[in-house]
Amino acid sequence: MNKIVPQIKLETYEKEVFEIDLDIAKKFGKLVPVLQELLNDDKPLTIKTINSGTLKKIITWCTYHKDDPLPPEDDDNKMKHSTEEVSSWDDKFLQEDGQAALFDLISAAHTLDIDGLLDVACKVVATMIKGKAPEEIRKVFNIKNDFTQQEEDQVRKENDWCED
Amino acid sequence: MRRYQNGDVYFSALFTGYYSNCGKSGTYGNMTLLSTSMEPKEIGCALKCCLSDDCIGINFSDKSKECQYVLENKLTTQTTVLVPKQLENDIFPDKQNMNINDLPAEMLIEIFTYLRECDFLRNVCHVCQLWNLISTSPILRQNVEINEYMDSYAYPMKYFSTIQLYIKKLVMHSTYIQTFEKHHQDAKFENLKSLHITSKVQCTWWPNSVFNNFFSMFPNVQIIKITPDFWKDAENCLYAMSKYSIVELDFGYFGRNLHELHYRLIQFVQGQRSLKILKIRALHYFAENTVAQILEKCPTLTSLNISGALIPSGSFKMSTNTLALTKLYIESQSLFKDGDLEALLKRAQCLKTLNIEGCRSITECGFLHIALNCSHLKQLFIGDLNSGNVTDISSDVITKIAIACPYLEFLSAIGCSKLKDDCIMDLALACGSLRSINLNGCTNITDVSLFALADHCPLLKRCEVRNSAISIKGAMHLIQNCKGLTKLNMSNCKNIDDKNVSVLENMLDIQSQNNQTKTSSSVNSELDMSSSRMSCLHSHLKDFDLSESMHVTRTLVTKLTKILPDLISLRLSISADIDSDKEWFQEIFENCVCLSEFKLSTTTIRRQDYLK
Repeated sequence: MNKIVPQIKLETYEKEVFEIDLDIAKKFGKLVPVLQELLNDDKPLTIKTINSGTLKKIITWCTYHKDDPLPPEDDDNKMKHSTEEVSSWDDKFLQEDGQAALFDLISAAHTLDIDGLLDVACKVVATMIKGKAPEEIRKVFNIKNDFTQQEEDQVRKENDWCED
Repeated sequence: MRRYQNGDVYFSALFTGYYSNCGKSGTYGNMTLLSTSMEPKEIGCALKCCLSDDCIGINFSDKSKECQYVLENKLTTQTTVLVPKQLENDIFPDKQNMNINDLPAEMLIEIFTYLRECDFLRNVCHVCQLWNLISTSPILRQNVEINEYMDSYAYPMKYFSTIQLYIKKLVMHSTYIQTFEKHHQDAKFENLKSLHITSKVQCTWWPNSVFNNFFSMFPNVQIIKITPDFWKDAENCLYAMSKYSIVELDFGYFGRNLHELHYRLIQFVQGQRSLKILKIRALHYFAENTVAQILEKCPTLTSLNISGALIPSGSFKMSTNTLALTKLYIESQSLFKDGDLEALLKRAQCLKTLNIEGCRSITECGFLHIALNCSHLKQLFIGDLNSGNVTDISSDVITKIAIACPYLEFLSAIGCSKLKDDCIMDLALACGSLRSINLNGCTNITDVSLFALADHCPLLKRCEVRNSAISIKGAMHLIQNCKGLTKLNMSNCKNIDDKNVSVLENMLDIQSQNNQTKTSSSVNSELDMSSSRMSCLHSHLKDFDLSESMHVTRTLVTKLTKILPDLISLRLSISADIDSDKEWFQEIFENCVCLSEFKLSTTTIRRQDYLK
């Protein structure tokens, strides 16, 4: 059967216009209230804070996860300690372009409000932090140690009881 | 917008850009002024802010770059805080070299929610100033679990003293009771509402004072859950708890001596003014009047669950006071007799949920008391989960209950093999708001029942008829009529075969006709159309179990999947006609684009493996 798939248009930072299937666009929480307007409108919606590479990646992710069942509603403020559920596909997909791209993806997913992508990306980053010593964390994420010696001693002193 | 639920107040973005919602330019975050006595006070940043009535919050001063912690409008501490880079330059960030600290602070919080307490304490807080600041954020501390790391080190009170006011829910291992108790004078978890103590093991015997001091740290606790075990000081714990006004208690003791406990339990219940939910778990028998006295002394109780504990017969023959109970769970009480059920039901006339699954001593006469007394019933669990036991409930009982309880929405009668179609017909006629029915193991149920349910219960969402005599004809009628049906269990039904495939073909014809009209309709209105059309045309069944139904064929399943495009879960068993077949799997995945849980006997068929 030849169905015409309705699409919406988004313009990125580089002024490139993307046509996105309605089914995919429905995953962008931010766009949901304006989807109907976008469908009728021929002019693309400009999202300046997202670049083309990131949007492409988001579309790929959403297409792959198009058929996922909706997650069960969070009824109580439950703890989210587990990082086990990240599938190997997601893990590879999110990490293949390096850290900078991953953080960019997180901030874009945040801008567009894509819950599923945000959750899984945050889990991946959390896994990178887990169990590492402060110096290792700084190295992995290229964070400058901005404590003065004095401050560092202070923090260490406050927490010295929990060192083994 | 991502939201953290926090009492009744929602907390949303901060540090994501410039807002001017407080009327002053250059301010950010969702502005919340907590005090008027502080200067300057341009920003209320939610990063440190648990907004609630008894607010612990923070004001961020743009001029001094200081965060001021505010607790109930009193300034408590001040710290210097780094202004995240994003605020300093509003231009498009350099994405090529994006650093984790370029993310909005709320995203860092989001990432940190997946970390554990020990990561915060040992590592995260030492990384840099921003991480140190965020790792002490109350948002990350509302639910604290201190179960896992007890062997490596203990949490000193010094640590808790910094976060004690943020904690609303605490899950802890019982060994911490003693650690906590030693410091009871230093710590008060004023905002803690919910306390879970896991595995209270019989390591040491603790006197009253230990528990007294321990609970004194949680003056406003409302919900207490204690994983039961063989601990000997259970009564001391109960005694200590009796000084607090508890709303929900889940308590248990697996040891033998329940008489000591009986006394404390009654004493506890007696002092309670607002206890609503009580769950008692035990392995041995309670004293004859324990349950009766609990009900007597605690008229506020709305939910009572004594499924785990054993209660002797005669437990309920007490006064005739009416009870506020709306939920009652007394599963698997082998000594619970007709007289007990009668006494209880006569007093609890507003009962909405009744679970007496596996109470094997109840006879026909006892079940009839449900019909006589419980006209408000919404959920009823009878029958027996243990497949070895056969329940004697007759059709007549179900008919009488159905007529007496018109609001019934949920019926579970597992293993009631004597039930016949006539009672299900009566049930469907009388209880039009039925949403869920479980007739697993009711071997005499046929298509007649499904036809009746399909015609009279349009709200039906879940239907389970495992091991019954139904066929595909009845199932199709149900699917066609109950558009809200999401779960259907027809496993182990030997009458399901492809004799009636013509029914499916008719349905497919109707569906394809509708699809044609759909494509010709204008694209722009797709959004409204799809939802309204789908609700009146195709089935929304998501969970379909056909396992162990040995006469199911490949053709049948293929046609079913065309009719059920929304399937998420499908279970089949390997049989004469069904086996691994790559092309067939592909076809099924094409028919059901949402299918993610596809099982063939014990093997999971994964969509990725069959993508074209």
